[in-house]
Amino acid sequence: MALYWKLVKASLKSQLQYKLAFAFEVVMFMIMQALDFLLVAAILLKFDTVGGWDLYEVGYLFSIASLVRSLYRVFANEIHSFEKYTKNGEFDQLLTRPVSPLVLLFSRGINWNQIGGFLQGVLMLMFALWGLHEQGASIWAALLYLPVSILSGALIVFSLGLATATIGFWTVKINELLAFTHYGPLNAASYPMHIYPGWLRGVLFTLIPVAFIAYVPSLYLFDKGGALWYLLVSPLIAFVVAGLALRFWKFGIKHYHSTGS
Amino acid sequence: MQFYLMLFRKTYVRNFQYRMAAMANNLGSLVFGFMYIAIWQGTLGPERHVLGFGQDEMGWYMAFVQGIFFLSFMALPRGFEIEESVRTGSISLQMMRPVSFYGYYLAHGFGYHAYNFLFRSIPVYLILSLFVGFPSFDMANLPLLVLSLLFSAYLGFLSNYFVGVVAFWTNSTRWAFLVMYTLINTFSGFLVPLPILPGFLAPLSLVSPFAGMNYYPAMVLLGRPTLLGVLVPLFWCVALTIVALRVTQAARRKLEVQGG
Repeated sequence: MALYWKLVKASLKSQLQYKLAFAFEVVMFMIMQALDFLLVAAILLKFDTVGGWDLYEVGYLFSIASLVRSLYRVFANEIHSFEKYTKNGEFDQLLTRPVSPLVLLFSRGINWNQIGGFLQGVLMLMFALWGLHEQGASIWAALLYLPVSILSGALIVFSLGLATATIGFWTVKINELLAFTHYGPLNAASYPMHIYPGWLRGVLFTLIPVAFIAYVPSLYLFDKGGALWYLLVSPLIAFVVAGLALRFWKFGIKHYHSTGS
Repeated sequence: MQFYLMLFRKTYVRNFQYRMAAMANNLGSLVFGFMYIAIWQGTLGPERHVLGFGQDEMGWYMAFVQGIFFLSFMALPRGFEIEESVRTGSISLQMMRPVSFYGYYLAHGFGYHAYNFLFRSIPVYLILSLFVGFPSFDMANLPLLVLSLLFSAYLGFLSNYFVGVVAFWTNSTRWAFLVMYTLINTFSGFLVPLPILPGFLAPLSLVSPFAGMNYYPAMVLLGRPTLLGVLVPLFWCVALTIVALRVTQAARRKLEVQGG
């Protein structure tokens, strides 16, 4: 762990070498996410609700999805961009080290410029909770649950990323697949699930279970017909999915053949 | 001319090598498409309207813009990988060739566009349309639809070219890509028809080069072509071509300085 923190500090230092470029990217990621939300806000300001959820409730889903996506990209970006390891045969180098490849991947790169998305997520979350509070809704449960929500959400996103990376052991290229396993679902998780057609909802609750990142707990937290036990489901699903993804990863490593480049 | 046509054809054919990857990406695009359609259907329901469009029309709008997403710069290799050529120095060889640098990438870009249109735009549009239906299209508008799609494809090419040539002046084109992505995502009418953007953003976006990428072509499909919808993209195609050629000249001079 001490070694890991040393590597974290070193990566921050190296990325701060280009301070202007670093600051620009942080700000750009903030603006990008803010504008994403602005588009949804434009719809909601005109029509009040999407599927019965108002601006602040959707804002909450949006912000949790932003937070967990950014955390994943900051701390596990090498998993996200795993294609370079399979395509260029770089994974072979990791296998020769006396440390688990997964630990090595974690320690290799901390992508600090994505922290802008996280900061924007925090601002958006404050906006959403403030709005809900102004409307007279109780936000204490949501605040107390926040750490669980973020951790289990980040674990789900990480697991999906790890499973996608594992598929790369066979297909070599995975970047295009990320649209289906990461970008699309994470965007879908920013809205209430019940607006989607049944089959898509089915996918988002099972195969790519992003529904548990923010939507399912919100049903209870914001009195949308959910029960108290919904709060337990998300972390439970996160652990199950992480366990499955890890097993799949280990299975993939056993069957890994280098590209031979 | 023959050279450019050959380059166009080669780029088109080369894309077949990655058809599995393209199909995986199409799946992701379908998720986005269904999501955006659902957002509008969940918002409008059976009774509400936006700009006179009900949930059916917005479903058609979303299916169409999701299809022509593949004519945007997002479906082209980032900045045509000019950044890598600058970094490795192979750009000097490219500049020495007795062909137009701009024309080279234009042929290259439209080779991608042709493949993407046939094997990504059309399938994604058709699959989404199986769920939302097809609008009753007036065939008299077909030439206008083709023209607006060409404008869209050309603006998509230009935006990617500008991201690429930034490499002559900076170490990385990543920031230019992010800026372009943000502008296109917000002001092209990809999720929200432009007139309902808040405040001054609505009129501003309607005369911006981005409106010709999604919003105006979609309006033609939905039977609402306007003169502005032709003139604005036409103006930007011409104006930005002049800018692109000037920038290319400046890039050439810049390269000569570096290589001296």
